[in-house]
Amino acid sequence: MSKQLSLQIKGAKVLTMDRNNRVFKGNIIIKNGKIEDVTTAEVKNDNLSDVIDAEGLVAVPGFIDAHTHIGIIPLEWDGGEQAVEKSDPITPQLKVTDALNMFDSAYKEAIEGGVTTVAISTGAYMSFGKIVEAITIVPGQAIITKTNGNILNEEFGIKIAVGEHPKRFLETMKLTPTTRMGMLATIRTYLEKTEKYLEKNEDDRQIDLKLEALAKLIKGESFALVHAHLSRDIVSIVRLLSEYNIKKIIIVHGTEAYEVGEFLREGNIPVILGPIVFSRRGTELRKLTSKLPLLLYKNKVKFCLTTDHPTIPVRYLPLLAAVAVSEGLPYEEALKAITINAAEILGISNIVGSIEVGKDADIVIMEGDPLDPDSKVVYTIIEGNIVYKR
Amino acid sequence: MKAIIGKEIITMNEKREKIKNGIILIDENGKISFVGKKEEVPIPDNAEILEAPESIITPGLVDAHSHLGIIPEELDWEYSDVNDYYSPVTAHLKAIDAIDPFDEGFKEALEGGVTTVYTGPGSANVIGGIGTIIKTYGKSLTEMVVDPEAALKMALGPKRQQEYKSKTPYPTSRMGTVALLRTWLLKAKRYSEGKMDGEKLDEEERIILQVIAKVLSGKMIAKIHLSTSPDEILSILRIIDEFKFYATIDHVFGGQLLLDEILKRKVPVVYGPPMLSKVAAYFKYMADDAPVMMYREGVSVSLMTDHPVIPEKHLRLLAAVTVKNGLTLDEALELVTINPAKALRIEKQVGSIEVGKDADIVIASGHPIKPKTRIEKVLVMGKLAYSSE
Repeated sequence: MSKQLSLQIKGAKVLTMDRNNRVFKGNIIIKNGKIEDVTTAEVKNDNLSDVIDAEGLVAVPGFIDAHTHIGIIPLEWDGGEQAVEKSDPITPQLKVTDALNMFDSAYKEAIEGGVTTVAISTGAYMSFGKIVEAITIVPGQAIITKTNGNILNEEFGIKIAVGEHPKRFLETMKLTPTTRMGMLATIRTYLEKTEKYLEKNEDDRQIDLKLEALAKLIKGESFALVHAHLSRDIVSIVRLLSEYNIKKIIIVHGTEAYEVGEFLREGNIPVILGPIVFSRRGTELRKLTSKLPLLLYKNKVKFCLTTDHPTIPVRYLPLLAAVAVSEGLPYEEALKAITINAAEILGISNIVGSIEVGKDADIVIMEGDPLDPDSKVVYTIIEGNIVYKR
Repeated sequence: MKAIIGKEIITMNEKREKIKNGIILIDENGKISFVGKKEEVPIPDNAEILEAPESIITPGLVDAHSHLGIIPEELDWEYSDVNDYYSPVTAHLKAIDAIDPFDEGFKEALEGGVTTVYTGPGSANVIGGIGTIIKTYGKSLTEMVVDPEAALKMALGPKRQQEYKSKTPYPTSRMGTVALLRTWLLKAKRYSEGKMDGEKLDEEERIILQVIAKVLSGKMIAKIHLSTSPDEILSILRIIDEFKFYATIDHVFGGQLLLDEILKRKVPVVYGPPMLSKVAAYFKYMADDAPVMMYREGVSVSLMTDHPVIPEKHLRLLAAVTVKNGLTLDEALELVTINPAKALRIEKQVGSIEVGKDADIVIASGHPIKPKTRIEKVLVMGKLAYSSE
């Protein structure tokens, strides 16, 4: 659809998701893709602006899924193979952007479901029928992108997987190492190499893309995205990373993260949790339940919810938030878990995650409660452009 | 005697009546003895009263296709008993011999308001074995079981390369699979007509034929796994035409393209599970709006969790997915209550809140198909089986 210079959304119930969680009936003024004003005051039509009459409708910030495989495991395609490099267990140099299918129908589905920002990661999804997912120790990097294709950060994080999944997958592939000791030792060796690499002048270095990538971890430029389910694995990888003073850590999946709540809280380590509805495949996931969001909330661990698309289709992200509410998570917290909290965890809350002046105009307009299945998405707006209209 | 009082009772009876300020009376046998408005009936003195003035009351949910208790929760695949590669025709295997009534999945099912499930063998074999209909609550497996030999599982679809050395080889193509199925149906037909008397049968073959004969005579449901494409649905519809038995067609990816064919045979569809992604080319025909299209056309549609694919507890979330794709909340509720009860031929016992039926009842903070709704209490046969407090 055409580029909007200016857009006015009038008369909506606005769930701002701002610091004070303000909810009010009002108007949103958008200019050049940004939110210029959010106000209860009357707004005059000007000839330059398009107007959405949102009387009786609800406006929420575009939903954010902080961990997906959109475009790298395209739908209706046996292309999931592209998401994991199987020749080598340590491949931090791999970039999602080199295998991203921009024509994956999941982009469209995300937009139709009101999901406007996603992180996309290397590594496989959780497929039913397999005990472990195809994942190596360091499968590669992750990006953050708008679902309209606008990539925000190409080098946002480096994924590191620990626990039974990489262990058993490497075993299957006849790769080594195949124990927790071995995997951790390998990561340590690489971080050691990276430190040595960084000690040299740039001109003296023999170019090594693996170490270049890991250097971003040590320098604090990229997040360590830790794929872990068990509390023991969470604790051991965090201890290892802290040996190298790596502090930007995010736990992905985090099935047992609630058991080490204090540890995570003290380390300021958030969790991208879930998917909270999925087959409890094997012992690694034995504690997976939809009660996990409530447990993390009670343990005061910062978290957001993920579909792990294609594990659960990305458009159903709000349904997962609703399930968390049924288990006792306060409603506002569930909504935060798919908007502002996800933005904060990804480090992009200055531009997305709430309806506030100065942020990108990523807004979903729905018929009613955004967490109810019978409340349809009427408009999805990304950077001021209407990208979906019912 | 128990009395349950709620803000609204969604009965799911034939007229789809909803009763504001309703009351349900439950007799000593765990059956519903009265449903109506509170003022219409005096509450007996000896009745235990369960008052939920803010809550919505619905029938217990029914899952028409799962592997609950057969593929265990929290353990690795080697603990699964769902597929035995013993032979492509294993009609003599019984799910009831493998159901673990202590599996966590039963407890969780109750948390999600699911009170009755079909649970059965997997899809590795062309004729896989006998599935069971079971309540999710009870003192013992015997008490839980509704029908130990409810349905015979059959399966088309892509057969995996078999690593096992079975007595008989597995077919490797669709044609081979259908031909094998037809062969056994014909044999069972001859057997039940008494035409195989003189022939020598070994004991195993005799048991297998007796089981298949029950499908042909209508005593047992044929539950047919069709998870790939419309052409395999058509093959099985032809088999049904040929042998005229009662069947439900399960998964039915691609059924949305065959609305007339399914409708004219009045074959009930057990769709799903929804909420999965098309992660491979062979999931091409999977579509979350398919159950909606079939429902709108008048096909009898139920949903499945296929537990543990989606945990049993989240059956109502799958119904919510059909709401996302176009059904109303009440229509979606049909797909997990009265429709599966009918498909499983247990509608005289469960699936709606009506006099004479089992008192399997869900008390919830709102409409149970809204995922944010909290399930507060669940009764099975009038007994409190779950309480969120």
